[in-house]
Amino acid sequence: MEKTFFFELITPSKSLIANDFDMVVVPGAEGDFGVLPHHCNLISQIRPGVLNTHKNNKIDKSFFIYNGFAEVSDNKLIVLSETAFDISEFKLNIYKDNISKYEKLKNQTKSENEISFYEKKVNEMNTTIEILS
Amino acid sequence: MASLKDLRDRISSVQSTKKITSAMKLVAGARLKKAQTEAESSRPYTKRMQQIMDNITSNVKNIENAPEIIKGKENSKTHLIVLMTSDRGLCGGFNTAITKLAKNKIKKLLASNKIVKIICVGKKGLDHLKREFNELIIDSIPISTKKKIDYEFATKISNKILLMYENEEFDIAHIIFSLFKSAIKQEAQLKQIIPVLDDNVENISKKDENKDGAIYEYEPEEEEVLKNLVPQNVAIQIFSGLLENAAGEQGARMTAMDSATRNAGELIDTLTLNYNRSRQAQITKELIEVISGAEAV
Repeated sequence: MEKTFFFELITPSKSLIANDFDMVVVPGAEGDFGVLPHHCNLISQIRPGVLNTHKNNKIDKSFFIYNGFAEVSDNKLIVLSETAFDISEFKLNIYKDNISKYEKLKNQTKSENEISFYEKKVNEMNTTIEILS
Repeated sequence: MASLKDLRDRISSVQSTKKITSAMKLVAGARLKKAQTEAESSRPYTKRMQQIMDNITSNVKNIENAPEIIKGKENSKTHLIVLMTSDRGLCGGFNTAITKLAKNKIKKLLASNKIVKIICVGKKGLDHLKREFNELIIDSIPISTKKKIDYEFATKISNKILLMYENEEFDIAHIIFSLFKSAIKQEAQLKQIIPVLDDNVENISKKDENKDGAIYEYEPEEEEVLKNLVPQNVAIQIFSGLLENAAGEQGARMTAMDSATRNAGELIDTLTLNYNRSRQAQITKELIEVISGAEAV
């Protein structure tokens, strides 16, 4: 029986990682869950949090995921997320800049659709900062 | 026959046209490369999302109880067409191919007494449809304000569409865009985004069900997951449509400008030949005049 399974993390603009791992811990909507080889089929929503991949009993890589879905089937774990990045790429000041940028855009527009959109963005940035710092 | 000066003017005007088209070709070529990589790197996400959606819809335990956004409404009267074209012209038959497909679809729907609403993304689609279906167009979104198509832009459009669905402004939504195959080949495509289950595809997925009987656990409840998965699916479909379009537009423009440049070259050759001939003719004529004048004396 294989001791590893295939894991892929995909965002709309690119595939962040695609490799075999021993274990991946995913921040599910109802609590973190670890995926080991031959996990049962599962579709889970994801809450904002950190996803860790394990290789040889050590944490190999960590990613921040804001939202999305994890699908386990056929000894494969696929995570689809609109916002995800390697934790090492996180820069606090860029996020702070983004917050002020979105707030400025929010004050400029009048359409409700856009206002709620920018509010969501600001929320997203705040949660990201909260979790990662 | 045109005078020498006329010919000279024409040659120089064709020459400057050639300069422009060849410059546009180079620019389109450079942009194509970037747009192509972007379109291609969005494909895995779209593909996976499609797979998950297919898996789920073929596994939904009792299709009767599934949310309307998945199984569709019983009488689908109002159709929404999201037409995605480019903002700029001079790209060969690119926009024409897309709008032709759209027009056929709209005519078919109107013929079967459906109500059609159109959202145009990209100015060219609006220009093409304005004459025939002006009263059906409910909104148009230009692209050119954006330097780069990002996911945010697609989410904004999809939010708008989902809000319309919630307010029951339409029952079925289709997107029309052009799939990028290569720089010289793009294919206009029609895709149903809401509801998720396409009547035409339904039969196929039912066949698959027997073969691939994977049953999923859902976390949280199935309905909750589906409720969130569908909007994401709509957004990604629109996003990938936009990216495919962007690549296709540049590809079509490159080919169109390439043949325009070649055409201009050929035209210059013929014009130059004509020009030289008539110059020669004039010189001969003048010589004859001088000689016959001298003989008369």
